[in-house]
Amino acid sequence: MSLLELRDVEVVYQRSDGTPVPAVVGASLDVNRGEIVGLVGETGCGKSSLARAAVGLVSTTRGSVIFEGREVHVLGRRARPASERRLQLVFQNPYESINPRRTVGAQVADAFAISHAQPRSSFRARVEHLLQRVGLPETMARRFPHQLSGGQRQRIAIARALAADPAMIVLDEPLSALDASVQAQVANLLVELARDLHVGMLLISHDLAIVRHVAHRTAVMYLGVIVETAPTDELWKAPKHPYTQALIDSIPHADGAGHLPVALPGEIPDPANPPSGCRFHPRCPRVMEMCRSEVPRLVAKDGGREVACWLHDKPPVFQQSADVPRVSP
Amino acid sequence: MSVAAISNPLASSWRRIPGAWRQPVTIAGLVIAAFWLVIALAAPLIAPADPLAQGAALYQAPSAAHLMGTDELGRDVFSRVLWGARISIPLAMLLVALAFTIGGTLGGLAGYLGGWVDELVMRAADFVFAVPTILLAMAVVAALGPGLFHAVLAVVLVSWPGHARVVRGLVRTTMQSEYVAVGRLLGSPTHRALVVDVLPNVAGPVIVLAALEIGNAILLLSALSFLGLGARPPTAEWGSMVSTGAQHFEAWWIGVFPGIAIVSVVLAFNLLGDSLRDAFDPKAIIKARGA
Amino acid sequence: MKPLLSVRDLRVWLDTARGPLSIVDGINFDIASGQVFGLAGESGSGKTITALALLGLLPAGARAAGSAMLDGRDLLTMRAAQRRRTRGREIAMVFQDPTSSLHPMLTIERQLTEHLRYQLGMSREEAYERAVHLLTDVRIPNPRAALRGYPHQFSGGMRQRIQIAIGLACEPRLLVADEPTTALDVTVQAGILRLLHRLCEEKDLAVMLITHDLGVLSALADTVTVMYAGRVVESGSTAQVMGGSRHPYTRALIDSLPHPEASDGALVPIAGDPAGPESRPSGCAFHPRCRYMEPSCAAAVPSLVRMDDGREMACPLDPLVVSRVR
Repeated sequence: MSLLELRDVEVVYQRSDGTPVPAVVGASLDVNRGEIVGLVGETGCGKSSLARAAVGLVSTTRGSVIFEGREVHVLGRRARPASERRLQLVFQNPYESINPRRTVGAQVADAFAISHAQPRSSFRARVEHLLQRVGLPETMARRFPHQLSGGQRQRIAIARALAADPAMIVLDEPLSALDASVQAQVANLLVELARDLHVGMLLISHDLAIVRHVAHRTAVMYLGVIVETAPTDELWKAPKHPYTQALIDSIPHADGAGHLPVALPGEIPDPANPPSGCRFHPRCPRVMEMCRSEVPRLVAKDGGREVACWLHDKPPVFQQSADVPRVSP
Repeated sequence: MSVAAISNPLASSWRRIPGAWRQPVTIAGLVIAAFWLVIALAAPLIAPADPLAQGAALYQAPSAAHLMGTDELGRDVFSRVLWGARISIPLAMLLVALAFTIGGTLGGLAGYLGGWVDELVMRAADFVFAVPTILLAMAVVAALGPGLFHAVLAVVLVSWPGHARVVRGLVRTTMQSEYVAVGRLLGSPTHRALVVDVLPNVAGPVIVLAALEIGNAILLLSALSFLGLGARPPTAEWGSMVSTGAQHFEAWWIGVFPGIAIVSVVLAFNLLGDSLRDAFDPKAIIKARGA
Repeated sequence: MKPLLSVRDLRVWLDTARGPLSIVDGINFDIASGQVFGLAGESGSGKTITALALLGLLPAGARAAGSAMLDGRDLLTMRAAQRRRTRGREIAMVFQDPTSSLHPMLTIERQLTEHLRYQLGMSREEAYERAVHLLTDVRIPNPRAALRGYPHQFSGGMRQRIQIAIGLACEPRLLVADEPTTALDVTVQAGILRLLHRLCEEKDLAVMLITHDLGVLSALADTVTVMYAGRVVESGSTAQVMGGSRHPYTRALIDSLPHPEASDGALVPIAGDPAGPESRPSGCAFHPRCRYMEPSCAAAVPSLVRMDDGREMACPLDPLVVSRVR
């Protein structure tokens, strides 16, 4: 049994004019202990919505989110049940996810204060230990957020999540708001923590390149659908889905060679009005006739890989009998 | 990194107060306010005469014996001005405290609970805002009957919506912030979020508003007394003294000195409020040297 | 060949309550026509402020000194009227966030033709036709329909193309692009980079490309100047700077990026945080974070020295010492 299981999750939110926007459509994903799973995709792919659904910040209209064998509740007025506190989320923007008017030490100690498990007198030592764990000096506990840099603040956010003794942490674009030279620091920290504390991580990012260095497995999302999942190395060496290939090809390399990255034609469609059949078909360089009308299924392949593409799947055989289920668009 | 962020980074309010207090505007506000507070406390000791004693000659211009002259009943204006501070300032503070408590609580509930509570409170506030302040205050006093106590009630009634609106807005914004979400994910019940996250964010603007409102309250109280709806004679209240002064123009000292007192107190608290606002404002812009 | 833009000893500082704060500390560079000049740096490097200084868009309280000669005229000392004529006609700017740099309440037509009519005195019809032509140039589908639209109806990539079209409306010689693709998805970014490349070639346009993204610079820039804490630390052709840099900072920066070839092993970060104007160390600003640091590095600011192969470097250390990490 995986630590975190997402099964056919669907997340719909309402636009201001009332139109329902399906941000996530039938996404399934597993994360195990000590494993870092990267979830990459571009704007409108729904990865942030999926991240929030995974921890119960938003509700799912369909599908299930199971953590440690139990269904995750959506956060309402009541306090979050203790069993779910081992499932944490680190937000993208370290400037907004930390209260500017409290010391960082007090905020890291929140999980201790809330759980009432140990006396207040023990907080200080435990906070200092956590700060050390994330590579910050112990004296930082007394400082206020504005005295810290972006990278330091993000480490505080991670320390705060660690205080809850999590088994699983979802991180929503934790590196995007940081400088390039600092991203590497925090990325290495995440790898260390997953390894040393045996914590499972779901790392959401638009930066495929850095996920490559951090994640054991990577899932690629496009317009609300997970199109491919594979061990990270495999994904890079031999991507199966054309979108994954396009993503890899569009990354410019800092080698001074002057190669212009390949551009993907077209635009990302409006999630409220997705294309029929395979959502990627209008932009796919290897589109086939069937792609326009039939929605590809996420099919398991060798080596722990999954891909949703008619290039790697036999088309369903259409029979007259009614008990063969039609793939719904 | 923005240039503005370089020169005045997001600051914890308490650390920033010392810097802001070095501004001349702040110092002026503080000094004048402190001055009047001392007067209010020490009036019985400083005042040369009993504010109600009618012994001296009538309508005497300011002189050595009577620094601010005497009024139409032979009372020492200087003493009355000093004693007036004991009415206006403490009452204004009490008033603001009441308005803040009532308004802040209602606004906080509105922001926290939302729904019909929010609607109710905000519509009540809208109603008060819709009517010109002084008219509404007058109407209330007229209904209750003239007197200082009723005047205070009236001003509380017209002041609470301002506090309610500010607190409601802050509570709503803070409750939707990411750090509150983080707290909730850690298992914090919503009431803990209120105390730990919302309160520190609310404290600053609310203190600023309170400081500014004291000046407002003094003005309103004086206005009501000026109109005869507040303090009754022979109470030495600035507003009613100005009113008397308006009836005796040639004896200018009767009205002018209380008037100056009102102006200076209101100015002091306004300056104080402005400086506090700058001190608490995390997005303060660059202040060029000397500018 | 005489350069189009020649910047000498550009200094920008901020008047703060605690005294002048140096943001850009004396930088020099040249940009030739048709060349893509890359300006690289992280936060606090002063790269954006440099661009703003050239365009006369410095925020209140900031002052500039030095010279920036564009075709014989100094951009820094121009009078307001002359500056208004120069901006748009000679030099234009494209910003990072196309959402906030396009007016949300004006049609695309209005925003495009405004400059044409003000700067070039075109009539409404002439300006309209030119606007259609500009949108076609930046590959916006259905230009005539697009002109009637408002910014919010377009995607981020489209808005960036529109911004570029507006910048190029009056045919400037130099386009300053400040992080033009940072806010865009990587597949959309690829399209914008190709667009800029093509426009450069077709119109002999000089581009000053300011970004922290070394990949983007590598793909598009002809020359790269690397800034750190307000100073230039290295300058040369893209191949020289990115393909085989010998400067500790550039080297460390490139090594901290995810490398396509080396997928195994952890990333090699740079310890500490990028130095900003308020926390600029003495001597060489990078020395506290530099793995090759020696005591002498803290003593004096290293000057930019020209090497044999034409590149410039500001580091007193023997270049052979700074070897590839990978």
